[in-house]
Amino acid sequence: MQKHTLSLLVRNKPDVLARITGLFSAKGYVIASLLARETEDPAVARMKIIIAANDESEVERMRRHLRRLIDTISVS
Amino acid sequence: MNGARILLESLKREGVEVIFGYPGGAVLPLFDQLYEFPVRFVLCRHEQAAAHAADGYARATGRVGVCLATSGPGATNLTTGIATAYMDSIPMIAITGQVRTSLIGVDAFQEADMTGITRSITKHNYLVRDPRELEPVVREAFHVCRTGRPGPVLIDLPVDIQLAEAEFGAGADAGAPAGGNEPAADHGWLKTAARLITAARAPVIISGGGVITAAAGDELRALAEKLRIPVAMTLMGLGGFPGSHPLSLGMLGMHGTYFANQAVMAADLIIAVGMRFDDRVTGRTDTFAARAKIIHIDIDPTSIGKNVRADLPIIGDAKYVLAKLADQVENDPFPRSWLRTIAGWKMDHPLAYDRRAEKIKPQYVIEEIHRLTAGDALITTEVGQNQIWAAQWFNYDAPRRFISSGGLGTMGFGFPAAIGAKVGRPEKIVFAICGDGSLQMNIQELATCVSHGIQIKVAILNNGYLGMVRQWQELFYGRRYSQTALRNPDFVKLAESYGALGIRVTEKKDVPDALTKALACANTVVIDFQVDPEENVLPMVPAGESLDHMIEYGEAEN
Repeated sequence: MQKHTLSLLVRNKPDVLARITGLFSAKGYVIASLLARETEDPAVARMKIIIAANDESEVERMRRHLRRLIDTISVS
Repeated sequence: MNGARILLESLKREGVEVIFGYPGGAVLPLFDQLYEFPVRFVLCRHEQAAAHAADGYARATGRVGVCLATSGPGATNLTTGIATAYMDSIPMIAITGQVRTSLIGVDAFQEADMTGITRSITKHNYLVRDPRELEPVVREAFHVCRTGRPGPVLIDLPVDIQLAEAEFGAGADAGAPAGGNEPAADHGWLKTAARLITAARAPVIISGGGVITAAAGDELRALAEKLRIPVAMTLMGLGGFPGSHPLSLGMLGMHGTYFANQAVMAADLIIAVGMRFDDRVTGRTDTFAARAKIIHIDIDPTSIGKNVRADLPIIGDAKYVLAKLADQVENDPFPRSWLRTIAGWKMDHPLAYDRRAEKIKPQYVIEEIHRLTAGDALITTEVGQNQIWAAQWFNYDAPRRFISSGGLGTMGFGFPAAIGAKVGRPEKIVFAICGDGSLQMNIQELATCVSHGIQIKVAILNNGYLGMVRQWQELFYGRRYSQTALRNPDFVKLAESYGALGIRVTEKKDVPDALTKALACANTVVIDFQVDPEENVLPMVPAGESLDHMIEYGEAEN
């Protein structure tokens, strides 16, 4: 298992964090590290999430799930 | 105007013509506005049924279904209905009342954290905290629920927001939601797909619910007919390709036809469109279609490569992709031997049951419904044996005629869904195919039917058991029928007590007459068909087995 980092820009709404962490817990991931903060734009927040995964394809699958969320602006 | 009125005006602007629901304290302002508002309201008798009715309405019409409940228990009662719609990707808006904003979080009377509870079973949800947010939220909610892969959206609306004043029409334009739902437009896939199709000698198309959502039936048919590729359908895809078409293989999967499953296992190319390789369809994934290259066409990137590898993933709208494919591929017929092999399977292994038996066979009831409605009826099903028999023994030749809870498999869905379907398609004959167990989960909706003159026909395949579970207990648990025998009410008296017509059928020879009488009756009708109690659904691929390991009719039990 290796650590992988996902960087997100999301809409700065009250339940965005809950929805994103819920996505990881539903898929059985433990979040090793989570950073969430506002940006200069009050409508946009930035998140950095570190998870342990077996390979890149798993992480890519999580990126697709995150991109599918309505409040997600971008994922890398 | 107040928030309640803004909500209704916003719904009207989205084209909503009917709402299914049930009142309560936290939605009093909304119901006060509904008293004079020009939208049809169908009062159900349980909020779960209201959700299923909105869902059935959406499946039958292709429009967005709307349900409305009060806070707390009213809202939580919608949960199963929302999860049902989520699993089958149905466009539905669920509106729930909520306690006033100042009381949220203090365990107030009839308070429930609906945005929290439904977070994992909605495409998105909203808690409106300001009346000025309401109009843009509704606009965005509808956009989200009906674009890309559809899904249910919940709007939680506190009672003080319903009462607060704001302007309608002055709401800020909702920007397009950030989560990209637009299909990809890159064309590199087209040449690759055409090349794979040309090289194939034993191709099969697997068509799912997504073909119906995309209204891609004509494009699918054009592709299949141009190259004479046989088409198998998932449960959710029935009717997306005409069931009585010579190229149709019927349903595949756990209870699919022998020839559909064999074709998929023997194929060298599978074109999967608008389906997600659910475990009911694939059987054992490590042996599924081992010989085939798989082209997987889906609008949702997260479905691709989830259960089964895709050799060529194509992310996009099914209608668009199939049209392009049909244009691109050359008219190069496959060797006739493939279609001959399949014809041989169809002849040697048809769907079968004991037609000479004295007891009423449930399959016979379904066949008679098909015959007496010229295959034109709209069928909803409950879940279990009734569901599979309805899927197998009725040829669905058009989409939105077979309505069934595929993903969640919710008992109690079919009867209220039939209500929604009939409201949406009043000109069609609507049959709800039910088990004696399933029907009782929302039996109270007989009151809804009779109150609103919703003249659906309820056909109970009454075997006195929780049929599908009993079947598994017979096949895999040594006939230890633990908690599956059901003591039922007199369904005829029950129907009559609600003001509906009840008919009981105990002899095979009386089946056609009962149906004819039901069809001629201008009322809701419940027909209690007392069928063979231990009839099994076959063929069957036991859980964890490969699709080509089927237990067929006529074989000794394991």
